[in-house]
Amino acid sequence: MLFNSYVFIFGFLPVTVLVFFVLGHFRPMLARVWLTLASFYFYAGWSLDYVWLIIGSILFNYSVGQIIIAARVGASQSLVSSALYVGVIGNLALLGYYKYADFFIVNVDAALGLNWTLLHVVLPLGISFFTFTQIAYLVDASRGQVRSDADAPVQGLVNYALFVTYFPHLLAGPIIHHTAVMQQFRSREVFRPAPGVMAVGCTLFVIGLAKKVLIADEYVETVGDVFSATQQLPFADAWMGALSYTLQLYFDFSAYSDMAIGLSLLFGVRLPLNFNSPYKSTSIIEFWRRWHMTLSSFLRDYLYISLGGNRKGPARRYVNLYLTMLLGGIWHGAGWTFVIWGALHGFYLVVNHAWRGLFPGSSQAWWQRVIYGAITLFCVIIAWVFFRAPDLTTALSILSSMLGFARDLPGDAVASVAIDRDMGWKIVVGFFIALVMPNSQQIVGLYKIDPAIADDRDVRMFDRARWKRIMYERLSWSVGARSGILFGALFFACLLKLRQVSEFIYYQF
Amino acid sequence: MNSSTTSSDASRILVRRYFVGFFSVAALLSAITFWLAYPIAPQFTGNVSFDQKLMFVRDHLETSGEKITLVVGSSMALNNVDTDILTERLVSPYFDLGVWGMSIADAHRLADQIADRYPTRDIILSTQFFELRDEALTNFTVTNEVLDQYLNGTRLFGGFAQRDFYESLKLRRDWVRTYANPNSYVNMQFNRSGAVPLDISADERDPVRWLPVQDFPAVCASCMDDVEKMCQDLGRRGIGFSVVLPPLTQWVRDQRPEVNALYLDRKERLRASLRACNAPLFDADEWAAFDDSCFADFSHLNREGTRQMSDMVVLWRQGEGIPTRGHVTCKHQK
Repeated sequence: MLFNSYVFIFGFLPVTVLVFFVLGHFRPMLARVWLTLASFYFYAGWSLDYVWLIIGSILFNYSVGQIIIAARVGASQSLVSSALYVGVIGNLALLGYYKYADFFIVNVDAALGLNWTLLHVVLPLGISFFTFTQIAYLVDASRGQVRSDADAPVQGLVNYALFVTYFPHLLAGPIIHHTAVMQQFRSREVFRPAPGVMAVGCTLFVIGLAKKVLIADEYVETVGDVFSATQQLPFADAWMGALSYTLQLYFDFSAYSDMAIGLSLLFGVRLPLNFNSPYKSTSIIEFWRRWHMTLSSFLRDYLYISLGGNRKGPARRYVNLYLTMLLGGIWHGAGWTFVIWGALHGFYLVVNHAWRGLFPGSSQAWWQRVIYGAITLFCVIIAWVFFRAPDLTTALSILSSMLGFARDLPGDAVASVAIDRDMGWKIVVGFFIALVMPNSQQIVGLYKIDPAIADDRDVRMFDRARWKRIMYERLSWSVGARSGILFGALFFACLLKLRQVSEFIYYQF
Repeated sequence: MNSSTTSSDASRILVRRYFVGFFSVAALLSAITFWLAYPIAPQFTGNVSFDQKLMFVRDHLETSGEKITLVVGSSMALNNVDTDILTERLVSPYFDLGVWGMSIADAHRLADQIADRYPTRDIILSTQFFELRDEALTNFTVTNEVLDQYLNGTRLFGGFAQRDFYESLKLRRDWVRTYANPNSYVNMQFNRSGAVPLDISADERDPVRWLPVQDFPAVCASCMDDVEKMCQDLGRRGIGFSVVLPPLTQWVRDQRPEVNALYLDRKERLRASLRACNAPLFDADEWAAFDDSCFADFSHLNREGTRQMSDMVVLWRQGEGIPTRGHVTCKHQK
C-alpha cells in the first residue's frame, strides 16, 4: 500500500487512526495491538509471504534483546557481548542473503568461472530499514539504554513489534530508536487525540504528498529516458538527466520522510527528522548532516564510532570515515555503482575533513558560501549518477557526456533522447524550491522546537537577509482557516494526480 | 477566566477552523471535479473513443438473456450503421462497439471479450477499405481483469480506481465543443445502442476531411489474415460473422482513381476471404449509388446517409434480395 494512493488515504489511514483512538480511550494496550496489526496489514499489502520473515526477525531480535538486557542486569558482560554478536550477525546474515546473495554469486562466478546458478532472491520490502532499526535496538540494549520487559513479556513483545513495524516508518525510515519511540507510546497522552498536533501532521503529510506527486514525479520520465539510453548522450541531455535525478531523489525521499513524520503525528508520535535542505549545504560534511539524517546518525553511532571514530589518530579517522561511507553505499544496494557512490562520498568526506584541518574555523562570506555550495552540489550530482545508473558502463557514459567528452565523438555515435520541452523550467523551479525556499519542517515550524535544526544556518539567516526573512515569514504555516483552505486545495491538487504516481525510490533499498 | 484557558480555547478554535477549511475545500473541489469528470470515461487506453465506448457498454448493454448482435470495427462502425434502426426494425438487439482507429485484430479481441460476458448471436464487422492494411494504425487492449472489475462494478464507483481525474479535466475542456457535439467529426453522443450518427450536411463539411489526404496503404500482403482469423474463431464459438463494407464518395471515385482502384482491390480480396469461410458480405455499392450529399467526409456517412444504409442492411439481414440499384440522395434534416 502506497502512502500516495486512494486506498491508503481514504481507507487504511482514517480507519486505523479512528480505531486507535477509540481503543486507546479504554485500553491503551489494545490500541497498541491494533496499531501493530494494522502495520502488519500495511506490510502484507506488498507481500504476504514476507510477513513471516518480519515476524521471525522480530521474535529473534526481541529474544536476543531480552537476553542482553537480562545479562546486563546480571552483570555478565561476556554474555552481553556474545548475544550482541549473535544478534548482529543474525541480522546481517538475513540482510546479506536477501540483498547480496545474487550479487556475490555473479561476482564470484565472473572471477572464478564456477558456473553457479543465481538464486533470484526477491528483496523483501523495507528489509534494510527494519534490519538496521533492530541492530540499533540490540546495540542500545547492550549499552543499557533499553528498559527490561521481564515483568510483562507479552506487552513487551507487542511494544517491540509495534516499534519495528510501525507503518509510517516501516518501509523507508526514518530509522528510529526504541527508547525514543516507545517512551512516547508509553505515555497516555498519545492515546488522546491532540487536534493541534494532528493539524501539523496533516499539513506535513500534504506537503510530502505534493512533493511526491506534483514535483518528484515530474522528473521520472526524463530520468528514465536518460539513464536507459543505449547510446552516448549529448552534453545537455546528460546534464538534464543528472539534474532531474538530483531533484527527483530529493523530492521523492524527503516527501516520504515528510509523509512518515506527518502520519506519525496523527497518532501523536514524533519521528526524528530525516532531511534539512541538504542541497543548501556548503560542504560534504554539512550535506551528510542534512541528508538522510537518521541513516547518517546510525552510521556514525553504530559503525564509525564502533570502528574507533576519531579516537585513534587522524589517519585511522580518515580510514574509518571512508569505510563507513563505503558500507553506507553497499547498504543501499547490491551493485558496483553503489560501492562507487559510497567510495566517492567517503573520498569527499576525507578531503573535506582534511581541508578543515588545514584551514580551521574561518567564517564564510556570502560569495564563499555560494562557491562552496556550488562545489558541494556538483560533487553530489556526480555521485548521484553512479547511484542511479543501472551499471557502471552507463554511469561512465553519462559522466563523460557531462564533462564534454561526447563532443569529440563522431555524429552517429551520439544520440539525443526526447526530453520534455518544459524540463528546463521544471529543473529551475525544482532547484529554486530546494535551494532558496524554507523546507517542510521550517514551514510548519518544527524547527522552533527541534534541536536537530534549531541551529540551522537558514534559521539564523532570519537576522541577516531581509528578503529571506520576509519569504520565510510569509511561508510559515500557522493553524487557522486560511491555512486549512490552502492545504485543502493543495491536497485536492495531489488527489488529481494520484493515479499517475510511481513508487518511492527508497522502497528498492 | 485565566489567560492560559483563553489561549487554549483560541487555539482549539483555530484548529477547528483549520480542519473545517481543509476538508470543506478538498471536498468541494473534489465534488466539482467528480461532477465535471463523471461523463468522461476512465482512461483505460490512450483512445478516448474506446474508453468512452466501454463506459457506454457498462451502462447500457443489457443482459436480459436475449442474444445480441454486435457491430464492431473502426470509426466507420460508429457512423455508417445505425444499430437503433436495426434493433427496431429487426426486433432483435443490436449494439455498436465501433471505436476510432481500431484495427481488425483489436476489434476481434474486443468482440471476444464482450461476447464472453454477454450472450452474443452474431458479430458484424463494419470495416472501411483502408482498414484492411498490413500495419495497424493503433493497438490497444484492456485486460480481462480490468474489464471484469469495471463492467461488474457499481455504477457510481465502479470505475473510480481506473479514473484519472487530471486527464479527464484536460479532456473536459473540449468536451462540449467536440466530443459531445453531433456536428463534430469526433462526436461521441451515442444513441440508445451505441451508434453515432453525424449531423454534418454537405454545407457543413470540413473541406480538409472531404479530401482523402491520408496515405493509403498500398501493400496488403497479409491484411486479410485478421479478417479470416476472426471469421474462423467466431465460427468455432458458434457465433455468426458477416462484414459490412460502406460506400465511397463519387468525388473520390472520379478525382482520385488510384484510391478507387485500391478500394476495388480490397473489396475483391475481402470477398474472396469471406467466401473461403462462408461469411456474407454487405457491399453498399451493390445496393445503391450514394450521392455525395450523404457523406460527412470522403468515407463517413452522415445521419441521413447512415439511415438510408441501415435500411438496406435491414433488408439484407432479412434475407431480401438486392433491389434494383438506385441512386440515393440525402436531404439533411436537423
